[in-house]
Amino acid sequence: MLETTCTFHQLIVDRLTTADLPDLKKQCFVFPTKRGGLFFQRALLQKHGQHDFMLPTIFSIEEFVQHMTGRHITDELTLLFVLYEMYSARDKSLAFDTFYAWGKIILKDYDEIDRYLADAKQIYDSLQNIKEIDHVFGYNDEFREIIARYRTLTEKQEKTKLLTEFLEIWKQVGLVYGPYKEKLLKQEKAYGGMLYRSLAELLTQDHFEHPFAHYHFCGFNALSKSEEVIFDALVKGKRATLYWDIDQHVLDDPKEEAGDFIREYRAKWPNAIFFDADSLKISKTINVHGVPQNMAQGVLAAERALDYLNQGAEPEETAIVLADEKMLIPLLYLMPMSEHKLNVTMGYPMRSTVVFDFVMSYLDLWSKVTERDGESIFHVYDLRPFLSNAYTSVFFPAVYQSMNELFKSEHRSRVQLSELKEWLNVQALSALFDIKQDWGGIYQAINTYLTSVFYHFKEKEEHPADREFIYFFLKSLNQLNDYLGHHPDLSLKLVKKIIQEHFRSIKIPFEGEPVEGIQVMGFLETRTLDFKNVIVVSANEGKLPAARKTNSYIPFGLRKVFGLPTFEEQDAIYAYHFKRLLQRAEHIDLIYDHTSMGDSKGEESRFILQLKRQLQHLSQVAWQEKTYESHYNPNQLDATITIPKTEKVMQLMGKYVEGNAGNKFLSPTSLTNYITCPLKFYLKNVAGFYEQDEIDEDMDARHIGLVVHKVLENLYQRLNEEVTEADITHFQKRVKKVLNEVMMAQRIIQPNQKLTGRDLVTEQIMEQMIQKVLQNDKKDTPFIIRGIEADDYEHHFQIPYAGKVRLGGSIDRMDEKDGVMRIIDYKTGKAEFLTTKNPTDEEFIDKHFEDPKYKSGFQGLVYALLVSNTLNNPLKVGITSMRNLSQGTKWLKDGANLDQALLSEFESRLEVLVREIYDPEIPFTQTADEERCKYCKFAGLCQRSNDSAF
Amino acid sequence: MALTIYKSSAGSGKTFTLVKEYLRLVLLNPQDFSRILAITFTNKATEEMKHRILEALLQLGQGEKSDYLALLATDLPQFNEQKIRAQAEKAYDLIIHNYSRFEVVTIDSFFSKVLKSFARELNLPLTYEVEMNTKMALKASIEELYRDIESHPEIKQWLTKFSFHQLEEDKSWNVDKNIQQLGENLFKELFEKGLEGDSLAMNDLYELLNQLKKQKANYENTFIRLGRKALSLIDQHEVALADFSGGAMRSVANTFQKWTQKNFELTNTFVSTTRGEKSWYAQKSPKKDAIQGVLDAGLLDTAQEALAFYESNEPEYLDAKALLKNMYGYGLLEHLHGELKKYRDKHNVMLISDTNSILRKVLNQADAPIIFEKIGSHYKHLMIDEFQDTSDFQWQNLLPLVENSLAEGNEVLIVGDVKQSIYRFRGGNLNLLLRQIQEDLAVYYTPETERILADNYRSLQQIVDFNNKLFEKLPSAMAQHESVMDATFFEQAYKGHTQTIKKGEGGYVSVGFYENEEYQENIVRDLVVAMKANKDLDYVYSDMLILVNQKKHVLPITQGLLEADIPFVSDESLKLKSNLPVQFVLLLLRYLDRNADEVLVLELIVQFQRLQANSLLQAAYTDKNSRMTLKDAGFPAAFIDKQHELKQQALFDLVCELLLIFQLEEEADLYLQQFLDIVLEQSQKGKNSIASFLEWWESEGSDKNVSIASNDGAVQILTIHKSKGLEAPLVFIPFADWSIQPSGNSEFWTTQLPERFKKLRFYPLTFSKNALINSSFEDAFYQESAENAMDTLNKTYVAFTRPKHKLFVFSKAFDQNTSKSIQHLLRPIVEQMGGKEVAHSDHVSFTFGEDHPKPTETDVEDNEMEVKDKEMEKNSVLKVYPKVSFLNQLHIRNDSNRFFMLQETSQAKAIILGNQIHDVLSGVVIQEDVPMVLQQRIQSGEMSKLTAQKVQERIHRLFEQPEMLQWFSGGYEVFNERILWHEGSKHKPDRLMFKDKEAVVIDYKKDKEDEAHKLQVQRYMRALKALGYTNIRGYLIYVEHAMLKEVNYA
Ligand code: SF4
Repeated sequence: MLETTCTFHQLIVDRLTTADLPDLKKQCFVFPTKRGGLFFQRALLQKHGQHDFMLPTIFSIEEFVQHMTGRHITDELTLLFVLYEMYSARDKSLAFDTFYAWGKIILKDYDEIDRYLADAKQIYDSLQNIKEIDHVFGYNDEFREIIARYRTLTEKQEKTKLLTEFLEIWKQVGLVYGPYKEKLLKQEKAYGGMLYRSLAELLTQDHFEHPFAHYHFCGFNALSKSEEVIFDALVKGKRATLYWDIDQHVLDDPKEEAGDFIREYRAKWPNAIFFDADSLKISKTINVHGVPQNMAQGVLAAERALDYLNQGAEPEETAIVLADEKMLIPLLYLMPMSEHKLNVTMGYPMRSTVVFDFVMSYLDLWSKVTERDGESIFHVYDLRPFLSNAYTSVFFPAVYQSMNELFKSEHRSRVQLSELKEWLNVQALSALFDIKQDWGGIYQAINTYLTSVFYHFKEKEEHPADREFIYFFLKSLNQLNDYLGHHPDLSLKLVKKIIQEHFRSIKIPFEGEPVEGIQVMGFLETRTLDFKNVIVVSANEGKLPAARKTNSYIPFGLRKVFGLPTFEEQDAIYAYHFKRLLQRAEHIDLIYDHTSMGDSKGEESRFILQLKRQLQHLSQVAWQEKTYESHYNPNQLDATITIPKTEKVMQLMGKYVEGNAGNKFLSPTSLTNYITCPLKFYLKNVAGFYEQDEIDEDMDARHIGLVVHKVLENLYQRLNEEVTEADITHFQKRVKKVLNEVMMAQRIIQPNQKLTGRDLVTEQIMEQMIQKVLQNDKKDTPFIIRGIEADDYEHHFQIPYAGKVRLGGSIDRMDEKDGVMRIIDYKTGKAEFLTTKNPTDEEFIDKHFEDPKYKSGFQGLVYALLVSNTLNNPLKVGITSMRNLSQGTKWLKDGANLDQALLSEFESRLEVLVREIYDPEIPFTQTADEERCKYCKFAGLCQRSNDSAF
Repeated sequence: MALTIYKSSAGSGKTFTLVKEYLRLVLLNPQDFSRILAITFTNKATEEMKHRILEALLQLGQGEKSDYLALLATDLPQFNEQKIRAQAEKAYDLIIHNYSRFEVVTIDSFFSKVLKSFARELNLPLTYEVEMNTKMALKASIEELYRDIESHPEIKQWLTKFSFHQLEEDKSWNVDKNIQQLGENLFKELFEKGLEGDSLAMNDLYELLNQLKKQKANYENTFIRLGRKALSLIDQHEVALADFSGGAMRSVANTFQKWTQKNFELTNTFVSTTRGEKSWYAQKSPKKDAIQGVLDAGLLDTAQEALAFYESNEPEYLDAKALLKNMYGYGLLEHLHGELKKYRDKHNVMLISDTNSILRKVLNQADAPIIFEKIGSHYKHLMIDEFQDTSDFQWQNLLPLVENSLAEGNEVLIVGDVKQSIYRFRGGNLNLLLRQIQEDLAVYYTPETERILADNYRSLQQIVDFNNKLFEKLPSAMAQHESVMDATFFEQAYKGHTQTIKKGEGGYVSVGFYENEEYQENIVRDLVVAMKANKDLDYVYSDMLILVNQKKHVLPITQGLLEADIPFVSDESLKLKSNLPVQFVLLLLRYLDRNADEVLVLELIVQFQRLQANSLLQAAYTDKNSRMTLKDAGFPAAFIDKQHELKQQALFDLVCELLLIFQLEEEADLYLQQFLDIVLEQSQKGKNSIASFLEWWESEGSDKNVSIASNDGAVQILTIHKSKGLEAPLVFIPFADWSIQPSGNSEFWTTQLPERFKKLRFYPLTFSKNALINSSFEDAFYQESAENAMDTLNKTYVAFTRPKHKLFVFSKAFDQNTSKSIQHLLRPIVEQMGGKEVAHSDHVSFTFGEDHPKPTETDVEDNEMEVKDKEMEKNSVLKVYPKVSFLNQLHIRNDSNRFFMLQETSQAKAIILGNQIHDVLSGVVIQEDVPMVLQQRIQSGEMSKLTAQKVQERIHRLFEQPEMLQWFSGGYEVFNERILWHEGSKHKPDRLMFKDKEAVVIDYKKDKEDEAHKLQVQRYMRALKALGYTNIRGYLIYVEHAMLKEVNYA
């Protein structure tokens, strides 16, 4: 290991001689952490490995206390449930999910009260009977002042709402403490503090049968009161040795909060063993790195670690310490592990796993199910996260796509349970829905499903990590179910919240040989360990030390009075661990985020300031500060797209030419696409790229257009007969019915399903729109309908290189009034009209070819042209915009008949346009006007800004 | 000097003053640092202040030169320099060793700390996150509003009516946008405050709505009726409208026709004519008699009737119209508010706006002590920075602390500049600094309370001079504006704006007013010229800052800069989504999430090829039947074949895996890096699925910008709002022609409702002079417009005070008719300021001072910076890219072999029972331990109660063996799974038992006997021998069959 200095564990082992070995089996070594014990064991075997002997008992303090008391610490969740039972007995309306979070705080308060041997009764009575306290105890001035302050608070005549609440909660917490502990005892359950307190009590009594001959307490720092009593009793009984690990200078300098505790212990146990690393004398390099954000910190940490290895350091001597746990996964991705072993003493967060997501979406689904006529109905919106989860598709790979197709083709926004079962026709999947809809049923289903997923993966020898995740998930879920199973009254929504809370902090441990490879660990894992090279990540204020929390129901002042720890102690503990970690290190890198983005404030840790002040000027310390910025690639992207009319392209365009396969027309819409943007025309109308719709959860604009068209078509079925006012009155009465029929036919409504939610409003809007059209028509009666959705008109242009290009389209409505043939286009959206007063034909036509804004007019004119070949009537073109119904149908040229001259002028302009489209020399290019890209689905491709996010 | 209010100005060393005051307090008593609460507005300001305090203390303490020394010596006459330095050192050490007590904090973080500490008392969730994304919350809430309507018929009805109303008005039937727009207000504190008290029930609101509609219709119909009547009279008398006074275009009688066309205006001519002040016809008109005839036949009566009706009904009509405009949306707000609450609960979030409003409801003047107890800090002194940006709620929440402090005789120090208050839209209320504070703290006000910081440390002489002169006149000019009534407001705000030059001689200001329609192009042209010219005067591009009023002005500028090859950074170019690798990853995510449609595949392929610098577009040359697949396009098999596996990864992992597969390392830079950081942050917040991330991205992520540490060599383009607090040697303001009042459809809310509408409490009105003058909302309108004008004035102030050396303003020359924009006020003032006037072909310019090369910096501050830069090694560059797919490399604990234990199937049971018995026995020393160990296994979730029972039965059977009973009865010294060290390796027998020199070793086995088991026990026995035991026995216990086998020592 370290050549120059010994590690803490080696120093302990050095005190053992060969002669001591046989006695070890009866001895017990206690460390703050399990990991400390492992390192101790390793040091022991390294030193005495040539002998045969039985190892001593090696405990973490937690294991020690449990062993000594013969009792076990109950898991937090169970403790919380018991606490909740007590609280909810007092307050029936209390929900577990809200209780969960603050129950944890109460639990922690109780735990601390016991660990610090505080008199709970006093604490909680103190506010009530504050006067007595004052003379019963001989407090010092500071404490007296605190108590006086509390007295003023409680004695206030007029209490504010806040104060009343505060006092009330306080009272509750105090009242429950005693009975809660009693209840736990009865059930043989315990939280940690209870065991500490009871061990402290046991050891101060005379008879205690000691299971070990001698105790060694190694590397502790801040002791709780009960630990202090335990140590003291054992030391006094000459049964224990204490080992402290601290720099003398830290101990001697009262400014150093890192020495606050041990300074006291030095006075209390003068015979304890002190290892003084004397670190000011060790030559060190300290690098402080200011780095932008998190990922870059990971990169740098990996880089530094590898540097050390390349310079010959042993991987075991190198530690990457993460002050912020979320850095783990990024670091692992940034560390080229194929070359180096890594030992990670942290875990993968459960809530980041897909299995967790799966269960959440499944629960969400059930908690949102609605009942109608005895059928359970799911909203497609809620089904989607479930269906798209990777775990759902384990046995049915295309489940999302195929369901999506189905929903779309049926315009589904809701699905019945029975249908779903039928569709998810894979046993494992349908079993998820064939259940009793309560927690019991759901739990069973999850269990069964995940189990089969597990075996499925196992069989194929795939996804070891996922298997692990499933195992851990189910393990925790079982635990939870122990409680949930007994409370069938909990709603699913609540269950979901509990699960969410419960899994919030669960980690799936990584495992490896603990003392092999580069060591990656959380900050608190470093306790008692020494490394030659230490790289600290997230050395930011707020993370190192961890942010100050005020999570306690015992206010700060009273905590002081009753000897409970406060954030000040917390900071001192961090300071100790930090300073200790650096004691024997020779190369230290402190990396912090210098930006104020995300959860960072860009502030370096106070410890960096402290170190700097203390070490920077020492000659044996090489102090360096460095800031970094991110790599920047100034290359600009050229997103110009031009489609030259290659042979292939011309061939694609052949579909609009008479005699070619495909039998297609250039529609007015496609022509306006070209006017808007030639590239858009190409992609959409030539290459035919088609964007799949998302599942329509609700009827949207497209539906409205479709339905309104269809209903009107339906109403005006009778061609070539005069439509009278009475007819329309009759139509108006039928609107509702026809609307319903159309929606059925279009599968917008399913048989025996009603519209819900937003659709209810949309339905009314459609009805209203149709009524308005009819109302307008009524004023216009009589007229004769000549065509509805008429698509039998064509127009041809003979184009060089291409042939006879066909134009055509379907005309929403043609009617005849007073001998004039009127072509009417329905538009769902807004339609813009040329506003120029009395434009010349040329101006009029120009505008329509130049500005896509007038595309409705353009399209109308194309229709007129199509019709004019066959019909001799005077023509008018009108547009009925559903957005401008109060104005009725708007007529091009202010309602004047379109004369032949205009139409032929239009025709020749159109021919020019079509020629251009087919001109091999003119490529399809992007429009220069970015405004036109606003709603274009190719905006991502063209790198144009768009309303959508891509 | 308990209460001090510093009124600062741009560049007046506000932070310097605050720091100095802070130093004064801690030098006086170093321990006091823990009892000062210093409040700033932004994280950046907090950082800067902390940094400056620490640096100053350190410099003082270490005996170095410090700008503060002299000032502090004056402030602390009782201390000599040595004492000051000693105190500073002491304070420094105290602070760095008790850093949690060093409370320089943002106002938001401070109050959110207070709120969190009262979470229980206020019945708030404890672990909530603060959600900044109000847009997403609002959208989700609107969705919920709709989803619920079956059970709320009144909402359904309301929504339907709303849509109908929109249809009537020829607006989109889709009312979401409308609701969303109004809904934004739910996050504003004004709304919270305005809508306190009982709300109007939907039915009542509906009634009111109908009543207003009726009123409006009645008014309009009256005019239509009267108009028609008039027209028919005119018609009957064979007179034409054009025959009346005014002729065809301006006929006084046209008014009648307009009414029938739903234009209900009464022209001035009409009114005066009707009143008889003017004649209905020209005296020479040939139709004179005929017109007189019509008038007598009833036209005059009709006109008078109309006028009388108008005079008595117009205000109410205007009221009705104004109210109707927003009533539908308004009616939904309350419900939306409810949905938002549900959203908060469901997602366990607090919206960013919640803190202040919740606290306001509970905090009370008397509560300062209890706050102190809860957060564990007892503040004596308070310092508040940027007070002009404080909102009403924030001030009300601060007030208890401020009063507590003052009452105890401690110091409260407030700094602010009314002139730089430009965040009204975020709730900042400059009236607090302007007047309110004086009212609220009247008891503590003394003649010394208010102090003015009049020095300017930022800008050179010409700049300061120019602004001194400009802002002498501009406020009163603004006050003259047609929509402003109250001039004192402006004068008060700009009182004491004049600054003393501290920075030195020099500086240059140029203001140009551009004629004609192409003024924008011309401005950009001259902007580029000016920048290039300064490049030749030793300035670098990063010295230059371009300020724009609105984002939409950025585009023409960047186009100009591109053409001129001037490097720039703007918000838009810094958008994460503008980066190709980021786009590509997003596309991949989208593809994985939804499986692709053709457009997405095409985009994926094209972007993929672009990433490989391959701009062939083969993928586009395909038709339906011959589409290029990802495979054809050369996508790696690792992606194509492993999509399912990829989707099985958590979001962050997934993104890293994608990057590993596609190897974009070459193209990766800070955009991708910050994207990864964002993914990390979001997955930390629980967005672990692709879908939830993409949803977030669409609503918020796509707006995210990268931030670059230094804009090396690039011009920066910023909006004025974002430039607050910044400075640059050269500042260019193209398009200084912003309008004074907001345009078109902006809304404002008012509580100034006439009595009969009081129940509406707080109501959104559309800001429009025409619609509101003469209505009951006239006062509200004027108040709002004064505030708007102040915003504009302050915006101008902020923009013009950014430069250190030179200011270039480009404005529009105004056309005479309107006075709506700032240049109308600027020009006359600038013209009179005595600059050099030069007329150019398309503009006229006024310049002040002589243009000059970049001065070498002499002042301390800048020098210090440079020195520090040199001290630090030149910034290194980090490149971020994932290196390895870690899950495949790292061992996860192989606990899943114990998966069986979780199962209840019969097959599983048989296999696992043995394991479980073994597991339980390893925790048992004496027989009595068994139940406890079992209990513990149940609690840890490893065993069901049922299994535990089975295990217990088996163990029971084991104890039927007499040897077992003896071993487990406590007569032995027992070591379960203790390690023996023998011949350099570890041995770990399941159970060791010693009695004197006697040793028994036991190993538990599941089922089948095996020779290897025997050998293993024999090894243990040898090890025991080596440890000195003589009487050694070894056993194998087959737990499944409850069988015991002795092993011979070999
Ligand atoms: S995004 Fe713009 S340029 Fe690209 S195809 Fe669409 S309209 Fe044309």
